[in-house]
Amino acid sequence: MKTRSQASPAQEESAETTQTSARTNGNMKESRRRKSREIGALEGEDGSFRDTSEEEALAVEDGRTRRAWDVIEKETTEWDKKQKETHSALDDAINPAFTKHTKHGRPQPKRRRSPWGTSALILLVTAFAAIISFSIVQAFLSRQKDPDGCRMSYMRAGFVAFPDFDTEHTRFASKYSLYLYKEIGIDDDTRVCR
Amino acid sequence: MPVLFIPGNAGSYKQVRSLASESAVHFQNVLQSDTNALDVGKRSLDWFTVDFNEDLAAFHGQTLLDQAEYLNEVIGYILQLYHNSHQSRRDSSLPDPTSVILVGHSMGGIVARTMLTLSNYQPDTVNTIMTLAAPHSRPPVSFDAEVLHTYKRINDYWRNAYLEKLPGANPLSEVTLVSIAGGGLDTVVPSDYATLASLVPAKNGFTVFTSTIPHVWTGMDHLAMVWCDQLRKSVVRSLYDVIDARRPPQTKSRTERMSSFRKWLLSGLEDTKRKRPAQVEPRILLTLKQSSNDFLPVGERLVLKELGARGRAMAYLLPVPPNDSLDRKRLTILSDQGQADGAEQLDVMFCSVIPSQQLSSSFSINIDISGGNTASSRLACRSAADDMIALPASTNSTQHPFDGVQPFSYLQVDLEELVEYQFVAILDKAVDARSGWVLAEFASISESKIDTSKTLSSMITSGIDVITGPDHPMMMEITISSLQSSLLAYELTIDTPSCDEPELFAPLVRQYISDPHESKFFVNARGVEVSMHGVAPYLPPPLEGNAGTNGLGLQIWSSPTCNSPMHISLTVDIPGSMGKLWMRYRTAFAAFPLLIVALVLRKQFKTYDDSGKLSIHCI
Repeated sequence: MKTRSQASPAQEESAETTQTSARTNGNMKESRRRKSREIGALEGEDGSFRDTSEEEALAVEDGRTRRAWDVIEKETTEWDKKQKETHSALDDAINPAFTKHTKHGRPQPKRRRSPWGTSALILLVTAFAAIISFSIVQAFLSRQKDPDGCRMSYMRAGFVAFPDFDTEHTRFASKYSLYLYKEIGIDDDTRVCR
Repeated sequence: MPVLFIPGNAGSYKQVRSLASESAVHFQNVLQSDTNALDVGKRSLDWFTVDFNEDLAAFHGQTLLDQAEYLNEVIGYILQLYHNSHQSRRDSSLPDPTSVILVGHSMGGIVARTMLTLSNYQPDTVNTIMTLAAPHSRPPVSFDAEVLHTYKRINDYWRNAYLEKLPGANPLSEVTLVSIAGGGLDTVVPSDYATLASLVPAKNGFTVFTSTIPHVWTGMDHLAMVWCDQLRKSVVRSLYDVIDARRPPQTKSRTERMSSFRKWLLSGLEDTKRKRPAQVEPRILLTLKQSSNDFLPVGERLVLKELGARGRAMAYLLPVPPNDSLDRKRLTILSDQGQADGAEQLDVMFCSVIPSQQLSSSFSINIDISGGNTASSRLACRSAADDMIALPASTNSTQHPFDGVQPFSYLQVDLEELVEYQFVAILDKAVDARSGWVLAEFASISESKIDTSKTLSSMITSGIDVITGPDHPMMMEITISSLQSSLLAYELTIDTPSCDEPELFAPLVRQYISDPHESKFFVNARGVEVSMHGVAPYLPPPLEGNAGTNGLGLQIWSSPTCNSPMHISLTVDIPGSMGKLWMRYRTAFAAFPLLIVALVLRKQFKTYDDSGKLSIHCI
């Protein structure tokens, strides 16, 4: 189980800027990757994601690092507060990690990847599968249908039972039984006929 | 005599009633007073049935075996009922029955076949089995391993018996098995699985679809197989044709049974080499007025647009052309006059000139329409009535082959079978003018065939588009050997742009594959949807021959009075074909929820791994 980073926002911030200023090639990538894993990606309002490395790059270009982090931090703190108020008991029960987090009262910025996020590929495959399934069902129900021309049949049904076909003859006599059909009006003799 | 009906999965014993009722009514109305029938051993059928309490034989292999074991004991009990004099009103001159006919619906058909594989089966107590919508080749649902195992055991036994791999003689050699399937409308059991191709050779059984059966000419759903009026009539009549109470097994010999079943249940147009009696003696003496009007020139088509026009019986004679092996010919006769007993206005005969010395007393039937004229021709003829088949009536007002309009009569004979005759006589017996028509011609087989050797891929991309010549034979045929799959559906359009004269009948199409015997008829055919039960997924290979190598066949009858080219086009219907996937792959959809649950679990595990939580927003 991964340990939750307990650093304060301010501390993380400074660590972040330290990271961005260190510009060795391989180092950069690795440190970004590690950071992303610990904190997770940023979730936008529209459900899209931004990796922390991307965020760093942008911050470097615009010089908006501090401002960006401030906004996010404020939002997530408010959100965390609400969470805690309404669902603290349930959260304690379900997720010990979360409980551990709230015990220390330091909400985490929501920079993790949301599990409900989907890539374009998954959406495409799902859409394709849905279209194919729909077309199969629609075609089965309404296309290339054979016409049905059966006329209803009518009869006067009568059945003769055979109570003496019992367990002496077969071990299934208690479960299954035998009958003889008799057309009422024609076969009125209960004996078997030739 | 005994018939045992076996209900299917979750079926009821009462499902026997439609068939049994028809059997009783038919015997009383038709056979009871027919001394010829009684003389050849026709007796009333006693329909027994069993109550399985709606047991689920398709889902539980042991139930299948239990039912079969029970039924073997039932057979023993039924047979001893007939020995018992106070239980049966049997005619003591007839032998006691030693076998019972089985009719099984759905899984009941499988139970019937299972009975013969069990140790408590009494040999030769079953020699005729008819199944309705029974999935012989594969279990319809395969959720229980025991069902699969049981099926394999039963099918292996049957296959090995016919491949002569069982020790001793083949115990199934005298058994005839007919499997009837409902077609695309049967959404409970895939009709592809009803085929016997991998289990039983052609001399012991065949598979036929209800749309092929004359006077039925429709598909039907799973339950309709037991209550459909048209089907029950054909089934009952075929059963009465195979029985013979004078023999202990209560049925005719195997070859006779097979030919009876073929006569009643197949369309008559199948390519089977019918074992015609070698020399059928001419029994009819036809005496005609010696007038050249009645004799048609060689190669000319007979077109009669109404009957009884001359006010007296008329015979029209088509000379039989010489048999040329390079240009083989075939006789085709089509008429809207039916073959119903007592209503025949039309007789077709094959005739030859007789030497004048031959006595007229050697003939059993004497037809004299010469009007007493001494200058008359005499011909020795044999009736072709037995070779005529019924085709659904096709006019501008008919919509379906089962519309109930009096069917057409059709005769199709290769010239090679007529070599000993010189004329084909068509006798119009009507003495007053009435509506009706007859068309007769000797057509060249090569001219009747539309040649296509399209591959499947070129069929899918471009289809077939043909225009026939203006003077084309009455019956045209197309065979596309690359179209074998059950998974594709097609659209066929027939266009006759300009007609010289009104058509005598609207185009009639027969779509067919040879094994299983599935034919579908389309009347008033302008735009037709074609699909078939040919080569299908998961089916085992056939016992003999190759499955579906002949491919899809189409026969098109059109009125030659039209005298205009016919435009025929056949294209693959891709959206329509999608629907064919459901019945063949539906159990894959049962795995779908499992897939979704697995994916959700994977996502949850992944999230937990990444962030230590099962989900971020814990609500």
